[in-house]
Amino acid sequence: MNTTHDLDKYIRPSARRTTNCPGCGNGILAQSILRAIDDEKLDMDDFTFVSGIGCAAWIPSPFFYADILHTTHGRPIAFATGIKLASPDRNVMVVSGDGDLLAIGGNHLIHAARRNINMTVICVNNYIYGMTGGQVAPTTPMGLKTMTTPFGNLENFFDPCKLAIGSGATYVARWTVYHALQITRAVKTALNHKGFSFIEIVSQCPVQFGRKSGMGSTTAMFDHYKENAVNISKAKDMTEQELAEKIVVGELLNIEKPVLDDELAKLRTSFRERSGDAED
Amino acid sequence: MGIKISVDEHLCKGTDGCGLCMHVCPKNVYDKSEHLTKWGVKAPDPVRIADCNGCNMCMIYCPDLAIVIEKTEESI
Amino acid sequence: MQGNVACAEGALAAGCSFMAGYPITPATEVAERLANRLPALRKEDGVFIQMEDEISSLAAVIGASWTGKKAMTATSGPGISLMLEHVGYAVGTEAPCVIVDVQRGGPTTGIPIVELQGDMVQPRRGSHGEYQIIAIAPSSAQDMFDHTVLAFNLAEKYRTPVFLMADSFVGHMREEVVIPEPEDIEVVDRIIAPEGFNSETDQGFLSVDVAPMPIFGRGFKSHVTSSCHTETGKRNVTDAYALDNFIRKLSGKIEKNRDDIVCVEDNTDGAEIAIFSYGIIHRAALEASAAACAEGLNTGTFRPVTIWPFPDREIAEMSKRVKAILVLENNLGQLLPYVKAEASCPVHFLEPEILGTMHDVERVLVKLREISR
Repeated sequence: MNTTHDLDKYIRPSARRTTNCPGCGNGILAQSILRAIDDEKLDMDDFTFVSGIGCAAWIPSPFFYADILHTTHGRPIAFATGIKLASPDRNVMVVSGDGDLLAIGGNHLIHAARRNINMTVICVNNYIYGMTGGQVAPTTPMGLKTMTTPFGNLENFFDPCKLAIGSGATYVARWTVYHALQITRAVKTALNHKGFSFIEIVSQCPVQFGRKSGMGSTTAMFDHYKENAVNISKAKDMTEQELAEKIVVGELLNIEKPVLDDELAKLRTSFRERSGDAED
Repeated sequence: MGIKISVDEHLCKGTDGCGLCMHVCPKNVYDKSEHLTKWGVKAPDPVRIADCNGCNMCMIYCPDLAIVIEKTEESI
Repeated sequence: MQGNVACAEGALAAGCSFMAGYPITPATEVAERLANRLPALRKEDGVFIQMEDEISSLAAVIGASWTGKKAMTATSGPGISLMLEHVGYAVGTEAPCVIVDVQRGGPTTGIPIVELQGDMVQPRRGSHGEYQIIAIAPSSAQDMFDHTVLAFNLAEKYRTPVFLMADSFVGHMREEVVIPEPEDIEVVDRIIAPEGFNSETDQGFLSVDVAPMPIFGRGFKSHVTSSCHTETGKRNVTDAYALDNFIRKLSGKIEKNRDDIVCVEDNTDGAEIAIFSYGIIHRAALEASAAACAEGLNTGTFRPVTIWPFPDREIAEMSKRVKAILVLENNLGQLLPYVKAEASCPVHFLEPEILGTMHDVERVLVKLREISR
């Protein structure tokens, strides 16, 4: 086709056709992120994207036309920590899935949030391990039959945003892919926020989660998000029972705290300002 | 003002498995195409393009960035 | 100067400006020295960070390496076991970095302060899959300085992780270390991709002659993945031929250049029995060899400085000149099978009477006399 999409310049030419399943919410998120970068007139060459293993990790890798580090399972935040501290002037963004960032990678999320490193982590939550064929995840609802919980999930799940807040993240938000425009706004806020930004994006996986949960098709799951999302401004006045099946969306936290890369820079400067020409 | 809707059949994953464009369109501009693309799926066909209000929702929600909405100044 | 401290100083002399690590006896002093020195670095921004574990330590090191910094970590056996997945990652993405293993008594938690040459095959075969690696074994505090510089230079030249296989004795002993003037230290820097490098078409990976590294931050839009990939970094997880190419090019890069990489100290000229040893045990071998020669037993020492790539040719050639080889290791025979595979003469083995201590000279002499009969 000869018509250029306005976001084409941000997409790696050899990866223009995504490998996503039909209707995968990840594609909506990919576009929402690129719109934020485009709206803010940022340069992709000022970014380093880092992703782990899973379908969500394929959002930046190889789709985004920028420096990308596609890492081992669970560890993108650890690699990103090295990248950010070694090149603090660059925008570092991690995009990866719930299994990757919360199960195997949970410890790295906790500590990067605690350190309040200036980076943005987008946790794409489809409530399942999609790429490997639909196994249970730390976010999978209780009772759901998955490939590794064939008799129903016996485990509790947790709230990724609460984990991020408890660990020390300073900007935390949740949206679903129904909220494409709000995602773009949240990504802009995160990029401008000094400190550790964590955005959970609920994204439909019609092939693995949709089938197993009986939630059905792409559009049925999409409508489910639309109908069950409740903004935090309303949710804070609702009871736990009323919120039981709901997805609370919106900006959940936005505060300032000392940022590790800034503190390191200050330390370095304090050495340089000392007199004398001591050689290393 | 004129509106041009381009659907890239190389990128589209099909209205049966996906169909988000048709689903989010407030003006019911699209039908499922009669023919199959080379991938064996039915792309969306903007049969009622005259009703399109240029909201861009189909473009924003397409997970494969297969839809481009162009607004042109047309003199009649 | 303590060996671990000399190692840290060697790293700085080689241009290291990033260290991520996790405390573990007997390696912690390397981290502590660099925690003091890196923030105060003047020639460039130095970074030290204590990560939450060894897995994330090596991850952070590789991330920093991809921004262009010379980066390292230091740990002991248990940490190496945790890091092994990322060793493969550094190999597969061709990220220069140095991994210091100050070996301790194992298996598992073992004894942190006791010397054991217990991890010698881990660099070579510990990470999954088929790959090649470089590993060096220092035997003195001076070596801890010199060999760390060498490790960085090899890492940069060949875009590979390099192991420094130290141990708790070499790490903790204090000896005189001569630190040359900076202008007298040879420092090698990686070759970086040129301006205008196009990640869609230009080769950033999989050259046996080492592809210029398309580091981050230069506008190359590099796609770096540990998935099987092509010369341009594009993922190919479908075709066996792609994996074949991936493996052969990565391993071929080390194999093709082995003559430049492999370094041995061969003092077996004219000897009847060669004593093969490395690391701290080499010092016991030297003493034993001198004592043997003094009583008329014609011995000489053969010390691989480079453990991997294994000095196969050098041993094969040496084994033609001598009547027997005695392998001394502080373990139950980790490099022994590799020596046997190359040697055309009989190969004998002797461990210390008590594993975790160094060989007693008299015990070695008894063995040498036995061999020479």
